Amino acid sequence: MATREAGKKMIMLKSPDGMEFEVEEAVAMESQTIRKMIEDDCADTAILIPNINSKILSRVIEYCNKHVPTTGATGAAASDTVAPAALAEDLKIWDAEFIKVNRATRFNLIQAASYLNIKGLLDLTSQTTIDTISDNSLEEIRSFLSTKNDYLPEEEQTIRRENQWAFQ
Amino acid sequence: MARSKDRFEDLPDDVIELLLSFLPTRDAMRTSVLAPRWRTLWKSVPALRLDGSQFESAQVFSNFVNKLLEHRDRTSHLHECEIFFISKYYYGRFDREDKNGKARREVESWVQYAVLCRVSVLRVLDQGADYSRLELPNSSVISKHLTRLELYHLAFDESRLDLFSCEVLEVLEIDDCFINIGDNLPKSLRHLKLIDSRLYPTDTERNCLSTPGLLTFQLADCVGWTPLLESLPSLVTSFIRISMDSEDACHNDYLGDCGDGSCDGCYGEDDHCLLLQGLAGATNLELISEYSMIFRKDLRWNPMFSKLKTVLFNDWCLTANFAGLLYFLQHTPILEKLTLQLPSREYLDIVSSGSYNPAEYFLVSKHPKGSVSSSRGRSDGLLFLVIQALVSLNQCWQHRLSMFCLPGSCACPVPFICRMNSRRDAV
Repeated sequence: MATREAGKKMIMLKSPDGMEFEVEEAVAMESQTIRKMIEDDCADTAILIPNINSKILSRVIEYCNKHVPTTGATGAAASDTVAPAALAEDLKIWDAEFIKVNRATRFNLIQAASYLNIKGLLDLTSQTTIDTISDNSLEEIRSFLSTKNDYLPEEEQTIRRENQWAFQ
Repeated sequence: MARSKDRFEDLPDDVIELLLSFLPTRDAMRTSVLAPRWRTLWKSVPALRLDGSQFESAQVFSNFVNKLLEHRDRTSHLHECEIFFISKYYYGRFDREDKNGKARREVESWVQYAVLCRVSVLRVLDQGADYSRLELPNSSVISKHLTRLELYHLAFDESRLDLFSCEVLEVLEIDDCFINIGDNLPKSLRHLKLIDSRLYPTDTERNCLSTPGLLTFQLADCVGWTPLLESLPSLVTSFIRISMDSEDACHNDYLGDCGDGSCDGCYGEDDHCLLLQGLAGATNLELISEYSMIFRKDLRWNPMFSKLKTVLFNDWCLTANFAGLLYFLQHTPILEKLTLQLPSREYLDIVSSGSYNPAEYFLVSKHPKGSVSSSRGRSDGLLFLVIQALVSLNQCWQHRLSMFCLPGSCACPVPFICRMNSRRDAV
């Protein structure tokens, strides 16, 4: 059973590699996925967060901790918060520092933000990822996304013809 | 290779769509030829970023946008829409306006599309020539789903914009527009920026702003009558700059109080406290005026700045024997930091008119820290005058203000925060 101390309800989060994190319920509820579990009363014991290792999970909790007071109970996106300008400015600077990570970590953060449904973090990681593409040419995007082209050549021609207006 | 571990392809469709939403829509759309899975992903990207500068002509841009909107999945969520429009392409080389209204109709229809898709963030920028603005009808940008609205270099009708019906609007930024924002701002509004814009109505009527939740307010360099700030109880931070283009400016004298009875800026309507009453509850204020005595006039209404912690003035507060500066020091009980932005002019004549008796002023500010900054050099004389006056004003100043000294000659143990933004002229 989650404990209640000093008016703050705590929630236990568990990563697949066995680490446990005790966080305030309000912080955990930055994640819409966890919020739903709590609201549906599925959070009596520790919540296992699959696919997110302890290193990434601790970063995610760090993010939620920082963003919880300004996002408040409404769960509004970080980018549209109602915080006073100075506070919002501080958060932006903090975010910029927070996201200075290597490509693999950023990718894992995207996956985590997507699974846990944390809009602010998903926006931040996605925006930063796109910003690292130096130019937006198709080949650049293709190589960045490591996407294999499994169109047949004639198929690709058809698509290009269909959407010719976008290639002018 | 490490790269194979983080294949973006493995992400779910909605995350890929979000990623694509940060690209200009043209580039996002082109991913349709990457692989079969990508063929239709672009149709439900939650943002439209239409950037006219990516296209060689208005015709190609317009064709692209119209096709895009025709093929996009209308039922998918649209969070953000930005339109970077280049009107000069439309107007032709020698035309100065949108004579047949083509540009207006097209942009209006794109905005309409976004509004119908219940867009939350709408940004419309006309990157046209200085002399003409794209005209949009007032109703086109009104939506009860908008949380953020940014308008740049556009012209609206003279009638009032019915922003009150934007029930969830939190951020409104208006830059370089012709606009009548009306009196009824939405209750949800938190951040308001009015910059470099012509504020209708231009006759004697003013807009009266009263919005309960406004946290930050920026009003700078607007043309027309300055809006009357009625009630802004939540305000924290505000930047106000009244320049000579304002109807409240004096056209005779930099400092105002020009002596010409027909000058509306100095001696016109005098039955309201225009700005300072509304700003009185703020914590941080920057008040700058040039060719206007708007703040000095407001002080007659005796506003009390009980929450003010940091404040910045330019030289308006020094005129008439430091009247503005003294007033603020007497009515700001918890002021922590005062910054004066002094002009580069040497000829500012502050204490010429009569004498003053420093002892009569009682300072309520307990622990202010002073800061004097000068935008350009050549103001040492003035700076010295200000400091001398402040120090002689009241003995308490020597304790209350950390320390005063002239930049470059600082030998005091507690360095006074003297910021010289640029080097002084070599003598």
